[in-house]
Formats: sequence, structure tokens, C-alpha cells
Amino acid sequence: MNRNIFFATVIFLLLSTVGIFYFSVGVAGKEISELQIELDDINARFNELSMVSETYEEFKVRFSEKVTAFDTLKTIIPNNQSYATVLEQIRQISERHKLQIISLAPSLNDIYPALYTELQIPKNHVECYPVQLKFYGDYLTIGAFLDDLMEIETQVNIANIKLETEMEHGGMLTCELNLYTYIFIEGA
Amino acid sequence: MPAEEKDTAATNRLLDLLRSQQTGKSTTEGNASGTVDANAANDDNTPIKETHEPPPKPAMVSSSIVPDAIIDEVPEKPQAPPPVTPDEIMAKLGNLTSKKPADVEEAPEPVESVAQGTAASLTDPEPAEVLATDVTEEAPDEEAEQAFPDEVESVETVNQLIDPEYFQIHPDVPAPNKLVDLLYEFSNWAFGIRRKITIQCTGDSIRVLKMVSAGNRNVIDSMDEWPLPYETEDQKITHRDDLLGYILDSFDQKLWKKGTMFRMYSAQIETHTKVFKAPPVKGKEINELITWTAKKNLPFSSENINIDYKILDSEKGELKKNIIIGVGNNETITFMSDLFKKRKFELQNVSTIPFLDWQIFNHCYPDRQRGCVAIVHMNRNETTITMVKSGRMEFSREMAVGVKDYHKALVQRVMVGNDGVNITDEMATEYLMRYGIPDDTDKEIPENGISLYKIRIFLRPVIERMTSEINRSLDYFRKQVLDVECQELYFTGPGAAIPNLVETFAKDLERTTEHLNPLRQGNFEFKPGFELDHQLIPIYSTNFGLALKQSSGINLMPESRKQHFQFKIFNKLALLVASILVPIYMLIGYFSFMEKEFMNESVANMNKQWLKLSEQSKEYFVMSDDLKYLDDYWGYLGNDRINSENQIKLLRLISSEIPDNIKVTSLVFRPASSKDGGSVIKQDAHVDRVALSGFVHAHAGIADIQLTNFIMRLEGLNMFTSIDREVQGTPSSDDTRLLFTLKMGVAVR
Repeated sequence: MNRNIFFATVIFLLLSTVGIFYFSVGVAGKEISELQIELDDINARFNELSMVSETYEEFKVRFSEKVTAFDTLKTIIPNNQSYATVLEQIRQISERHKLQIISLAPSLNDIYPALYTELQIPKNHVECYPVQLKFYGDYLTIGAFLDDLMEIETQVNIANIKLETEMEHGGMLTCELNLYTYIFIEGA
Repeated sequence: MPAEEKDTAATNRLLDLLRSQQTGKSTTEGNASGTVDANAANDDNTPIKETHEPPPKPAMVSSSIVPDAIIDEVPEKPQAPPPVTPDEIMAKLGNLTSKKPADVEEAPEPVESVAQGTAASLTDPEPAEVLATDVTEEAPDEEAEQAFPDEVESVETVNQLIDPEYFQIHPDVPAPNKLVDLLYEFSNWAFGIRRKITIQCTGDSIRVLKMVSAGNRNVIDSMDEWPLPYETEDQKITHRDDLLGYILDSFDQKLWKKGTMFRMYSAQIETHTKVFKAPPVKGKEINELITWTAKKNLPFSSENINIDYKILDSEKGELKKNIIIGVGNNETITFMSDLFKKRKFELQNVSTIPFLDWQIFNHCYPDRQRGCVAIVHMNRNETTITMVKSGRMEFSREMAVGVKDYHKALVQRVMVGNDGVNITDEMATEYLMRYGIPDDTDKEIPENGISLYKIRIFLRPVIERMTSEINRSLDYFRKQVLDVECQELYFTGPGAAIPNLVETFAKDLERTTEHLNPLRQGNFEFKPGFELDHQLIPIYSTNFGLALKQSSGINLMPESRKQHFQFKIFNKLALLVASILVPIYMLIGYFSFMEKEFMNESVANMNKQWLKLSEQSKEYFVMSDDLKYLDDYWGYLGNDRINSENQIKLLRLISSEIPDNIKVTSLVFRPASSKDGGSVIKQDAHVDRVALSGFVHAHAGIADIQLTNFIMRLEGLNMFTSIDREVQGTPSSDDTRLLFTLKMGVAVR
């Protein structure tokens, strides 16, 4: 009898311990944590609102200017249709500098955070697509190529550079470039 | 003439002859033993007066037909003990504690002589009603005592009862410590042994010892004996089980149910104790060996038995271990347990006499654990001898001689003067427990004038038989255990309550004998006002043994019942922990729930307030968020631009600093990721890496210096947070190239 009561008590204690931890941490704790974040967010909004000094009209003008300024990016960032011209420009510059392109591999994955999903009023945003470029050339032509790359109309940025040469043939370099290219998405 | 009467007559004639030789009286005046042939005519009706001359020492009567053994038994003149007044005897005897029917209890105060029969009554198989009859019958003897004051005094002043000195607490036992007592009390509470009731069921009575714990001691509340058959107001109980049920019903359930430990020894339960030396095996093998040994040569059926055992430490240098096995009939034990269970009492322990005796000795005589001793437990029907060597139980044997044999030896017809006196069962019991083995054989029993010498002579054959049996056991043990000589014998049980018997054995066995004293370590106290009859202590020794904690070593209760009590403490602890934790858990749960509800309410309130805001305010936040996201896009693009421009600048800078004799073979920019393991890293931890590999084209002696100079120049640019150099091997003396790799960190300072 005592043996049964003992084991029953132990099992009850274990279950109640697990139960209370599950409820306190897993259920109530998680819910409290989420509510706390929500509450902090609401409070922050109220605080922010209380600290606003400009009028609604002034703020709306500022907002419109900012949106318009953002839209000017389309002058240096191609849209979907003209994105191929960027790759073409890169190829042309390399040809001009007589670089021997080994590979040119654009990626089709936007590596920027999907902020556009949160945008409510503006309809335009920017997406970033990396491009891997590998070619041969000497030190001077590669330097000139990089300078020209930074000067083209459409925005292209260098993610990282890797230059390598063989010891016995110091003149020739293998250059691997990771480039960032961009597409201006309108009316999404 | 029946055969038994013939034997009695022959014995009487022999004793008569012996007596006549000692006193010079004619056998025609009455035989020496005082017994007469029932058919023989009494020639002389003149009463025989007791001579006060001591019997002469036995002469060497080689021509006598009396065997030497009997002649030798003529007692020597004992030294006169100090005179003891009747009051002192009364004080020693204490009150009669044997339970009597209600009508007997209402009887007038018993006379003094009956009070002396306290212990005698305990072994009396007759019902309490008979005891009451003895009380009333003895009243006229007071007149006889007054008529023969000298003779009465001579018997009354002989101290034949057990000397209380035998049952003193050892002087070395420390005084109780209150703190230790408190801890023991807690332990007793936890184990449910704050109150103890030990029950000893014999063939003729049930003895109950009630006690309450006080620290590690037990305070005796009562020592009760319930004789069989037992008469209540409306019924006569003749069966032991019915009487046990009646006794259990008489216990106050409120007082004795909770925290009471019931332990029991019953002669009704078939039990057996074995000791054997086991080879050094463990686990399943030792269990199988114990089971096999337990079932071997059992004096009862080996089917449906309970086995318990205790493994003792082996002696130094000995691989074999002594194992004590207790075996009991499960059917009777379960029946007894159910008797308790029906009354909502819990029987915790059923043990065996040899084990209990050994435990009493082990516990009470820690200073006498060296050497070899024997414990002789004299019960009514049998005597158990237990040999203990160096504190280990070595051997146990049961002998078919007990208190009943002493009792039977006294039941006969005795000639007192010209009158024949029939010693009845009741008288025999009373004389046995009052006078025991008389030393002062010149005196007589005042009630009927029976000479104590005759009493002694009647008991002599039984003593010899028992002496012989004990000697046989000791001899057997000596042969079995390497000629170890038993140094001392401890007597206990109802037989040890017979006055002077233990002392008589000392002479006959030519060894030191002593009463086994269960009170020696001070484990038992008596409640204030309790008048203890020390003659009861040996009778209740089994009860005392059962009350000792150590007696749980052999427990013949079924395994399930034992587990029930083993888990009692764990159960209590678990319940205690549960009673602490459950309220805490409930509070935690309640507060968590309340906090959640409070937060819900707060959020709901804030949301309500948010809804009350104007459309413009809401739109403000929408536009504010959009502005933040647009800024983020600007930021990403700006960062990418800065990063790429920085790389080109660094490339230019490094190339401008490289001396002619250093050739770069590899330059790798590794921009730091803004995330590390999925989490956004801090600005301080954002370090871009540039790995520059190449070689110094110079002789080994100066290549290292030139490389160091190059590194110093790079450091001088103040662009890098760290420059780690890795030299790839040491160039040989004829090699002009020192290969290296520099790992440079670029970060915001």
C-alpha cells in the first residue's frame, strides 16, 4: 500500500513539476512575453507620438520628398527589362581592358531583406542580385577595370575581390569578383 | 495401580530412605520425599513437626540403594540470606498486572501471599477465575501463619525471587541527550514507531508490552498478560486467535493506531532459525543457496514459507560468512497479519526466538562481544540455546524440556506428617515461581507444611535433564567450532523467572550464569508510578527483544507487507515534499495566470486607446514606418558602395606600399558578414579581413627584416586593426624566397 502511494506520489510530483514548468514557461510565459513586446511597441508608439513636433502637413511633405528621392534611384538602377544591359556593360568594360573572362554568373536570388512587404504607401523598392565574375589579366588592367566598373551609369558594387597569381608567372593575375547588381522594382 | 503411580511410589520410597538416612527418622514416619503411595495406609496419624536442625551433610553411603546422583543432590546448608520483611518482598513483586475479568477485579484486595504470586500467575495456564479462587483460598492461611509465627517467618523471609540487581542499567550507559532524543523522536515519527506494542503469544497466554518512545528509549506503559482460557463478562475465550482478536479490540484505536509499531512472536507460528556458513558467492547464487538451505530439513512443510536472512560480517581472514536464516509458515503469519489488519492495526514484524535473544545480547552487552557465550531461552514447552561467538550467532538448538517439566515435577501427592497433600497445578505453578529451586531446604511452605527440601528434590531430575541437554549442546558446539569453550551462559524466558534456577545452573554446569538483561543499555524505562516486578522481565524478554530496533533484521512477514513498511518513510517524505511543492506550484500557476490576464488587459486597454487616435495619427505611423524602410534601402545601397570603394582604395594603398623585393601572389578580401550564426552582430565585432600572401625575394638573412619592414609600413597606414603574420617554413641558406601570409583586419575604430 505504502509502496503504491509512494510511487503514485512521486509520479504525481514529477507530472505536476513538468506541468507547472510547461504552463509557466511554455504557455503563460510565452504568451506573457509576446504581450509584453506588443505592449512595449504600443507604448513606444505613444511615446513617439508625444515627441512629434512637426505638423501632419509638414510630415506629409517630408514623406513625399523622401518617396520621390527614392524613386530617383531608377536613374542609376535598372528595372527588370534593362537589367541585362548591366551585364552587357560589365562585359564591354572587360573587353575594353582586354581581360579574358572565364565566367560571368549572375544569381537570381534577391539578397536584400524583404522590406517591401512592409511598405504600405510607396510602391517601389530595390532588389540586389550578386554576380560572380572570374577573369585573367595583369595588375594594371584589373585596376583600371575596377575603376571603370565603379564609374558606369548603372550602379554596380564590389562585394569582394580575390586576386591570385602563380609565383613563376608574376605578370598574370586571376581575379575573382563578387559584384552586387540591382533592379529597381516599380509598382509592386 | 497405574504405572505412573507405581513410579511415583518408587521414587517416594527412595527419597524416604534418603531422608531417613539424613535425619535418622524411620521411614514409617513418612517418606523423605513426603509423597505417599495413594494406596498405602497411614499408620501414624501424629502430625510431624518440622525439625529445625539442618540436615546432615550426605555421608558416603556406598551401601545405600539410593543412586549417588540423588544422594549428591542433598543440598548443602546454604548461607542464610539477610532477613527480608514481607513488605520488601511485596515491593519487589509489585502489583499484579495480569488481566482479570471484571468480576475478579472487583474482588477485595488480594492478600500479601497472593501478591507474591504475580509471576506465578503469569505462567498459570488456568483461567483468571482460578487465580481469583487462589486468592480467596489463601486467606485462611494467614491464621496458620499466625499460629506458627517462627515457621512462617522462616519461609517468608527467604528471598526466593529474582534479585533486581540482575536487571540494572549498566553504569557506563550515557545519560540521555535532549538534542539526540529530539532527532530520535523525529526519526520515530518518520518511521511510524512512536508507540510500540509487542505481543508474545504462547500456548497458555498472550503477553502484551505497550510502550511509548522517548528519544531512543521506550517508556513502558503496561505489561499485560492475558491467560487462556480467558473469561469476559459474557463469554469464555478458549482459542488463542480469538483472544488475540479480543485484545486488539480492547486497544484504543485513536491512541494506538497512528504511529504504532506492532511486532509479534507467536508459538503458534511455525518458525525455524538456521545459521550456516556460506561460501563467498554473491547475487543470484547466494539467494538460491539461502532458499535451498532454508527449505532443507525444515520441521514443517517447505511449501508456502516466508524466508528472511541476515548476512553477518565474516571473521578476520575467513572468507565464509555466517548467514542467519529465519523461516516461517506464510499461512499462519498472513492469518495473524489479517487479524491485525481487520482491526486497522499494522503488524510489522514477526521474528524468531533465537534471533531475538541474539539481538538482545548484541545490543545490551556491547562490552562482552569477545569470546563465546550461550543464551538459554527457557519457554514453557521447550528451551532454545543460542551460541554466540565474537558477537556472531553461530548455532541454535531447541531442546524438548521447558518450564512445563518443572511444573509437572511438582504435581504429585506429598506426605506432610500423616496427611497427604495433593499439589495441584495451580499450587505447583505458584510454588515454582515463589520458591523456585529452594536453597534453604529446612523450611516449609506455610500453607500446607510441605518441606522445601521436597520441592527441591522433585525439581532435581528436571534440572539434571536440562543440565545434560545444555552440556550436550555446548559439547557439540565445541566440536563444531574448533574447541571454542563457552565462557558464560545467559538465561532468559519464563524459565529464568524461576527463582534460584539460574544460580543452580551455575553450580551444575560449572560455568558462569547470568540473567539476560534487556534493560542493560537503558533502552527501557517505566512510566512514573509503574511498579515493576523484576520477575516479569525474563518472562517478557521476547517482548523486550521485539521492541528493539535491531529485531527487524529477521522479519518473516510476507515480502509485500515488508515493502509496505519499508516504503513508509519514503512515503512520508514524498508526501511531505508533495505537501510543500504542490501549494508552491499552485501559487506559481496562479500568479502566472494572473500576470497573463493582467498583460492581456493592459494590451487590450492600450489597443482601445490606439483605436481612439485620429486617422492622421494612425497615418503618421504608417508613413513613419515606410520612411524607415526606405531609409533602410538607402542604407543598404550606401553600405555596398562604401564597401566596394574601400576595397579598391585598400587595393591601391597596399599595392603602393609593396616594395620591389616582395612579390604578392594572392590578395583576398573577405568582408565580414553582418550576421553571425543567424543573429545580427554588433558594429565592434564587424571586421573585414584581407589575406595577403606572397614571398620576399631576398637572402634569408635579410628577407625577414624586409618582411618586418613591410608589415611596419602597413601598420603605419593606420588602416588595419590587426596584422597577423604567418611564415610558411624557414628558407634554406641558398634559397632567396621567404614565403609569408599576412592576415589583416579592417574595422571601424
